[in-house]
Amino acid sequence: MVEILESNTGGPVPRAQLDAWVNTYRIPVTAVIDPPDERVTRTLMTYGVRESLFVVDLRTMRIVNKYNGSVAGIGPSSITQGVTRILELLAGGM
Amino acid sequence: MRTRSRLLSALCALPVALAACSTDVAPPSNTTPDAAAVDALPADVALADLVTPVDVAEGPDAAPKPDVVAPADTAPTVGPYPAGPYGNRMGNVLANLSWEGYTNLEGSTVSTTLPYGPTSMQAVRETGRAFALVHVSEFF
Repeated sequence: MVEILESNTGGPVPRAQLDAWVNTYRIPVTAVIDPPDERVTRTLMTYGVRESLFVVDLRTMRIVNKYNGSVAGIGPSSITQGVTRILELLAGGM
Repeated sequence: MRTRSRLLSALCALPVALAACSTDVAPPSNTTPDAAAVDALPADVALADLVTPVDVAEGPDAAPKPDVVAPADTAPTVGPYPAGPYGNRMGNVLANLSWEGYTNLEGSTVSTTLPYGPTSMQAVRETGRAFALVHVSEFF
């Protein structure tokens, strides 16, 4: 599980905000930001807007499934939708 | 007369009994006079007097050989990152981006307690896991 904090109000994210993000929600998974030296939001430009979850086959790096949660915080999150799918995949389902 | 008769009877019976014994129990075929001679050695001869010392003198212990050194841990071979074109839709190949932050593969602690450093999508591949969940968030 990789959690990417990809922008701070549309701009790059400093490390202090990543720390605050992780500590506030007590995130127990890999949590990263774009390298600040780049001073761009490369992940936002490449992977797309927030509340998206990619289920990725690490052998091929193909996106097996993509889930979009509500950016308004209404309805099931992308994580909630994707967890069921990843459990199916890990159990050998297709 | 009666006594003589009894004696004769006993003497006559003796060879019969000996013959019966020799018939029932045959002597060992490998019995030799030498074997009998060994058995006849005096009991107080020490064993060391009968053994010729021929052992080679014991040398110093050989130095132990060093353990085979295992190669340093290396990342599992997953090959180069798949070529593009890349995209962010279902069925696309997700691009290899580099980041920095906290790598937490075990999920047993809050990530800020772990070392901070560089990582990438290729590094995620090299964990050897089958699948990854990649989630993007923004801060407002």
